[in-house]
Amino acid sequence: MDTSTPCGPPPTRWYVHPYFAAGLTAAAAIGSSFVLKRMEPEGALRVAASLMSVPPSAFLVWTFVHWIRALDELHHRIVFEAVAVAFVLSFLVAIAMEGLQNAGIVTSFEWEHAWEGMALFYVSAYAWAQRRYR
Amino acid sequence: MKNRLRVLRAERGWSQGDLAARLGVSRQTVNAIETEKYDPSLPLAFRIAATFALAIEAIFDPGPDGAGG
Repeated sequence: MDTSTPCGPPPTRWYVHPYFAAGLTAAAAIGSSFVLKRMEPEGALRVAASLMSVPPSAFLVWTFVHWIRALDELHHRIVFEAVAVAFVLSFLVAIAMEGLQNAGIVTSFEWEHAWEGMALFYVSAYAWAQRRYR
Repeated sequence: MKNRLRVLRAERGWSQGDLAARLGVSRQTVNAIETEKYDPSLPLAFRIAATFALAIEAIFDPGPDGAGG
């Protein structure tokens, strides 16, 4: 009998995983910021430093797609429910924060923060969706 | 949607993991179908039916709302 675990990613190299790619992307973004602020390169080096996090970001997208395609149909639903919830929540919170900023109650909100919020909401929504179908 | 998956699986002495491996899905998916938290797709329903050598309607009962007509 086939006892493989079809819900998870198929056997592959350890680094083809969204967690590793996310770490790589974060490291590249921090490195890029460090180089631009502390070393202040110019010309082509400045362009290269500013785009340093693009290749690992593309790798992150690829590993995420690879991971999602290896999931079974219930886990597809779980991931897409988590993405949908994260998108809606981050949008609503961003709208609320912008309103509060217009009223002068919040002073440091920027729409870029919605991306960070979306990542946090995704983790929470994924845990909620996993629990829902347990 | 109601189903007889748990009964049919038990009749054959299969664990949820055994059935999951036969269907090519996770154990969590089998559990979610058995507890009626998740309705399988049509392809998966056909795989389940083929695994038990039964017709789909012998395993799944859509109830009065899903009976068609």
